[in-house]
Amino acid sequence: MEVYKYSHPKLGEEIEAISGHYSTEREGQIAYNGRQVCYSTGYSIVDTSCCGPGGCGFAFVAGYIVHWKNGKDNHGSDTSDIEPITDSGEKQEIRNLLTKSAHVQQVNFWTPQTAVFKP
Amino acid sequence: MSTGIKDKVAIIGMGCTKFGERWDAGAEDLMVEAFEEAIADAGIEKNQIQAAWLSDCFEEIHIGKSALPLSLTLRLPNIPATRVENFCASGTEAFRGAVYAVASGACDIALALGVEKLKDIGYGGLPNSGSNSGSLNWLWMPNLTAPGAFAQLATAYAAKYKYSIDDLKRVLAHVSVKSHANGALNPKAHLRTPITEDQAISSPMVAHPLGLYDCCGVSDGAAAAIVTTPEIAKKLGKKDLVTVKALQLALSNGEEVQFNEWDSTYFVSTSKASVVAYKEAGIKDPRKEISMMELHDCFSITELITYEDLGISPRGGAPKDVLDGFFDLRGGGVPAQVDGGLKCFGHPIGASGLRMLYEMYLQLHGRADQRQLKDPKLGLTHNLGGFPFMNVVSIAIVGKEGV
Amino acid sequence: MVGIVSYGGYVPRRRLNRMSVIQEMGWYIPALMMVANGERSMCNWDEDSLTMAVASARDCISGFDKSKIDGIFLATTTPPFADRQNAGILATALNLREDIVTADFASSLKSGTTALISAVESLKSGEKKNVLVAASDHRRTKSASFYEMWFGDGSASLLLGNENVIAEYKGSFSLSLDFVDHYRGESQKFDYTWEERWIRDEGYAKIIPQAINGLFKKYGISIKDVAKVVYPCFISREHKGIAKKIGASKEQVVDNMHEVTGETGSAHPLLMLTAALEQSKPGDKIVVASFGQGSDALLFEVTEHITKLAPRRGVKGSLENRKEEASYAKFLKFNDLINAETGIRAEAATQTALTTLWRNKKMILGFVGGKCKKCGTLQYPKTNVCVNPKCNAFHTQEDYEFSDKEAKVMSFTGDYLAVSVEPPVLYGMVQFDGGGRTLLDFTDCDLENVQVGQTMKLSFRKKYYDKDRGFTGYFWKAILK
Repeated sequence: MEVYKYSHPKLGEEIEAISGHYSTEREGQIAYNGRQVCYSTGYSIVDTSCCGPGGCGFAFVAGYIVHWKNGKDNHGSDTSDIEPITDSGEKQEIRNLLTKSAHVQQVNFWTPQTAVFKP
Repeated sequence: MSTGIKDKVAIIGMGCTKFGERWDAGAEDLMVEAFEEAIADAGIEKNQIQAAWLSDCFEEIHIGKSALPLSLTLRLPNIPATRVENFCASGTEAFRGAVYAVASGACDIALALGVEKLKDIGYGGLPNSGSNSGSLNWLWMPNLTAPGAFAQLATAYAAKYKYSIDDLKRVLAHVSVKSHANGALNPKAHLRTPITEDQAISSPMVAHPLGLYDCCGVSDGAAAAIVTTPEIAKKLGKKDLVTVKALQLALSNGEEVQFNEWDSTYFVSTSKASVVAYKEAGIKDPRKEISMMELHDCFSITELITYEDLGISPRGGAPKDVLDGFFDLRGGGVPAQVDGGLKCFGHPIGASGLRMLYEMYLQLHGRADQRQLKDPKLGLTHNLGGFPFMNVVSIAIVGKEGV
Repeated sequence: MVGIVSYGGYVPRRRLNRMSVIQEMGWYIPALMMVANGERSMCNWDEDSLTMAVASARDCISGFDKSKIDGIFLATTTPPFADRQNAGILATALNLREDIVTADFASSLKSGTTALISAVESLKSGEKKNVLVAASDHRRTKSASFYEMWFGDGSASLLLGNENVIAEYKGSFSLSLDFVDHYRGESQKFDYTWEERWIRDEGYAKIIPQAINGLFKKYGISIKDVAKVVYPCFISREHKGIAKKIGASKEQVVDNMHEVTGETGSAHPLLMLTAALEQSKPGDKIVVASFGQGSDALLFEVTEHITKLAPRRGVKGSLENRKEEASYAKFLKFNDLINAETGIRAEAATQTALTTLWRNKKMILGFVGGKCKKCGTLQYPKTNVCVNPKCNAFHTQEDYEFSDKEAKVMSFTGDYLAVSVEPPVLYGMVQFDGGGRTLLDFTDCDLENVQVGQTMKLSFRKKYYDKDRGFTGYFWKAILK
């Protein structure tokens, strides 16, 4: 599996969009498959969307930790070497674990930019 | 045999308010703010206006019915005034009324003004009409919201053209990042914060696979245009005229949602309206001839698919253009959402179409400051109201006279 | 020969684990522990006694030529309308003929068996050939009450007729006794109940044996002649006690279903009878008795035709289609027992235009669309102009029923912004096999289990509730096949 540089989010920073905002509040790790998985949790508020109010608690899963916080990106944020989770079965199991343990309603997974297709 | 609208009408003045949560302003204040800029720009007297069109969508929560609020607020000189509503195409509808009036010779100078004051309902989002949305609709239409309906477009599009959802999300993130970069340069935008692709990608979902940055927001705002014939414009001393090249509308007839053919990967109405609009404007190759666009980016996926419906990108090919930067402000292609789009302006429904035209007008006159493009000739605006499976679409093309 | 021609059952998919009530409310009423075994069925938020009746009735008449149905009786103590015939809504939902008799049997838990007797009588007179009886209940209870634990939601339907009878009607014996174990006065939301020990000893333990023994005496038979005995009693220990009193063995007594559904009110004798029929063989005599201000006891004898009855969901299938609900809070919310915030957005108008409903009753309640006489295109809803762009003919549409058609999911989403009792709202576009497509709400399915291309079927559900006027609006939703 390929390993990518993952920039850790700034905790407690409100990221504003026209339809609402979100904030990453905590970072954590869970053991899965005999490995450590890095994730962060936060909340989103959809209060200015033209489609109705909403929001949720979310978890954002970076992936399996290969090297923890071993560098900095050019914005000064910590980076780790992470192996992203691509298998849908693994995603579902991690989603179930986090939905219960972190009390979130939504679990999303990181796709590193360099991993995407070139159409 | 119809000859179309091309070069029969010129825009001589435009105005646009600052968009945003305008707690300070009612609909009347917004109308005045847009009108004052437009009339000063036109350099005419109010009593030279001979007819007026007003657009808004949710009149029940701000100005109420009829065009009286426009006539009363501006104290128009007892001239014909008409209120129009056609979902998100309302602003362009007001413009169309004024343009057609001048082109027909019914009047010399006409005003189109769109306004929407949405932040007086006590909750986020657009008003919920409940059973007032049509007595039969209430009995059976699903309890759907726009993100949910447009999310279905995204999943169907990805499936048809074999893009993974992760890849599509990366493309949509670029669509959004580009608009926010443009909006950051615009003092009238509601939101002026540039964002990164990672911020967009990591944003929580609103309706899978559309995230927070893929959805537009609610704003208050107003915009106005004053139009006349090129001849009168010249008599008024106007130079480098911006004229109307095409004004088209297309509405669904129920085939998408009831018949067995549409596959939920494109907009039937946009695809049809664009062909007619290009014919009216005499455009043969839109990818080469259109200089800039303001599209109805209610959702990032709408913008992406509209590139294809407008014939700018080939079917299934918009993601490549997006990642190549073809729609970026300085990407060398056809810049889209030059002013920041709905993503940065929000969507005061009655005003949006005129707000888009305002940016085209500024660009064509070289008055767009930091966003100014090099020598634009033709600008296209597009509105889409309703849902992917049933909608109202408007397309307007404006440009320099003689192009 | 007059008797049961077919049966159908419906138990809502959700089952509340009774321990979840203990978990949340055990601190308050620790004695609830006594009845906390197993699970009870619970209506989804968009279900009520009428939607369940439609579901069991559709199961019952599947494969039967419904144009032959001459009457429909609906028995329930929880009708959504006090004045607007609920059986009439049921008939419209089933798209039955208009020249039939419809009636509500209400106000007593024995209304289900009374409806059965009345249906049989109207068949015996020769006036009618086939009458459908549906019984259904969604009884409201206060939070953390024994009755919340004892009760469940469900429905059963029986088609009575005189051809291909699977269980012949042999006779009945009725008792009318104003024994008020509970009552619900006009304008009251909940039942008022007297002491359970008295209900048990003076009610169930005496009245049911009196009715069953009365039946035996009237027809000169004894418990030995009977294969199965059906009677309700939510107090499980007493359910067994009654068996002793009438001399029935453990094998003869049909389970009271406490552990799998709870007691489903006026539907319960019919639901248990349906469960009994599912396990019966030709020649079996079955006694079914009810309890509610007296009792009706009926005697049936199973015929050879039972072996030819086409497979159906019934009770067995209903019990198998199950999803455990561990959240007691959801049960409370679904039953409007907690005052949860809904936001200003939910304050929108909810009025029903009765004129519009009347003109479109087939479309809305019966899910009837159109078929173009000219080009054959199927469409929903039926409109004045054919949707086929190559046809577009005016006034060529004939009624076409979609409610029994299967459909494939074309696209769908889980919407977290739409106002809902249980977000996310699932909806999507479905394409009917054979033509026609429409947008529908999805219900009784989880977002992770829905896929494009999946086969769906239709279910009659509550669409909205107008609380200012007490009007429930119904429409059809898609459920997983």
